[in-house]
Amino acid sequence: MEPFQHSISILVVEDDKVTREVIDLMIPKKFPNVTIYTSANGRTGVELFKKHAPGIVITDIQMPDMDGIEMAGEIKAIKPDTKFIVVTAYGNTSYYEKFNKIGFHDFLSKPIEFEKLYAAIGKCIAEIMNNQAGPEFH
Amino acid sequence: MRNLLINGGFALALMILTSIGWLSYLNINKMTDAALSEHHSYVVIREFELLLSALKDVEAGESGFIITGKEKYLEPYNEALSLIDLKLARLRWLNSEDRRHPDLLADIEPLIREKLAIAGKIIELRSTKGFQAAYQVVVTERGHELMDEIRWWVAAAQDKEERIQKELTAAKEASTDKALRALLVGSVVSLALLFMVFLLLRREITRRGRVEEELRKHRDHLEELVLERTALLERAKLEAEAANLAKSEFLANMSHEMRTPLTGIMGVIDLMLTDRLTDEHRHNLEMAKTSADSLKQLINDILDFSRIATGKMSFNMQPFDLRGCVRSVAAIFAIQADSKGIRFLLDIDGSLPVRVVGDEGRLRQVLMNLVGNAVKFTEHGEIGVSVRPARDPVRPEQDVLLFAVRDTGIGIPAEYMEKIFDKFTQADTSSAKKFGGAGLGLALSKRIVENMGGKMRVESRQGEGSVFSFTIPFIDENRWKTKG
Repeated sequence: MEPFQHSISILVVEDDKVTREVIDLMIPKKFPNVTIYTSANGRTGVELFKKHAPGIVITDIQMPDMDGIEMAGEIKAIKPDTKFIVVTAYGNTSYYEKFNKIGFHDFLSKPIEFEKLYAAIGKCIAEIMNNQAGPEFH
Repeated sequence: MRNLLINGGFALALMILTSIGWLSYLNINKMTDAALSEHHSYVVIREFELLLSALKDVEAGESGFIITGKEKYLEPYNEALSLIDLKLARLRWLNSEDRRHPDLLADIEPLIREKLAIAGKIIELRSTKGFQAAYQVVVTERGHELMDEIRWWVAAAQDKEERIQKELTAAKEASTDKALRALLVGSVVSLALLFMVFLLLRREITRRGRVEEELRKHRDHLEELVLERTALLERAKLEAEAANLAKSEFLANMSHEMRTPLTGIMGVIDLMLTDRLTDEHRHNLEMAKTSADSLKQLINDILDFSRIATGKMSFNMQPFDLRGCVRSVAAIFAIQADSKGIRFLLDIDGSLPVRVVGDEGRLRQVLMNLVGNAVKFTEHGEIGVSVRPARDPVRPEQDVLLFAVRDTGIGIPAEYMEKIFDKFTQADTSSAKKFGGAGLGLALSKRIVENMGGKMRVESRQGEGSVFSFTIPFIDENRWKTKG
């Protein structure tokens, strides 16, 4: 697992500065080789995605200037196999169902339980590496 | 009283009128009888006149024949004889009809027969032996005296008849008079009664009309009043509901808004805990984390409450591993119980299906709450968690899971048993200080269970422990699948 980690990058889209920074600092504690890009809203999130094409996007839903759902729609249009981990304070079903239509890997509620977030990230990385490794065995 | 007067007056008037009718009928009958008897008396008297007249004709004929000896004088004599027979027969018949007095002819008829016999004898003598012989008989026989006697008797009979008739007439007049008076009095009385009844009825009708009018007004007013009050209540209810909804929505929004800074706080604590720390710092951070966790739980509970209040609580029905769910909750609290020196027993009925369909998250939430309370409020003894299948008492066809969380803790005083499921209630404020918690957990658990179609109840004795049990309807995953 370790040798491939350098190729993994994660985009974190979160409008709350403290939460964004905490996520930015917490992920490397578990996944030190992962590259992290952060954005405070959906619009710059899409721009960053276009620039770096990260395999995993961790996003909030409610944000000013393009919310998480809209952004996810645009990103999926660019790269359909992007893994989304949704982290939201709004655990209501309408968001869940809307995002479910676009497709997500995990749906976590705030406050963030980092063990859950780590587990979700770990699963996404494993899937990505499987897909990357897959063709090499043939 | 008024009705009695009306009915009584009417009945009395009817009775009087009926009596008057009956009396009149009787009177008319009597008058007809009287008229008949009057006619009878008149006929009797006239028949006697005719009888006498016929007797005079006999005498005249007799005299004529004696004097002249001519047969032609015998013609009226013979006619008179047959007329007398006729009249006697008629009078006999009339007398037999009349039972008011004895036979008037009884005294008269023998005299007439004698008179006629003498007359016959004289006429015989005149035609066979001549005038002298006949004359001798006329002189010697008492023909003349007989005639006077007959006249007297006839007059007496006529007189008797007349007197009886007069008495009858007088009696008839008296009774007619009486009847007329009765008729008059009765009519006046019944008319007066009817008039009284009429007046009473009219008054009653007006009174009823007035009462009905008043009733109608009163009812209209009442309806108006009721409508007014209903509208007021309706508005108050709507306002209260709106206010309640607004409050619930406010709470929901607040709990969301509070979540963002709390996420930051908890994130920073988690971040700091990953650092190299002194024991003291670590301890302090752990305390901050515990507080933040409590706040998170409180915010979650408030959000759930507002969801239930606004009808927005949703349940995610998915097949899940029942035993796994119960065991994972038990595992968390078994450690805490162990650290307090309390035995922890778990009993899951073997007949339960492996996977059932339901909201695992909500079931876990309720179980966490009840088992967490059991551990929190128990100092020694044991805690037992059991799950077994049961039947819904109301809908016997519905399979339910019966969960029970038993403890040997402080128990609940009887006076708090009713309030234990109310919001923000703990058995008393001092226990709130001692044990912490806002008292939302039980209230929320009960409502969640009820929203899932189950029931929650508690049995407890202060100082001995409590048993919280609840039911949740479930579907075996296998059956759920076959249903499609």
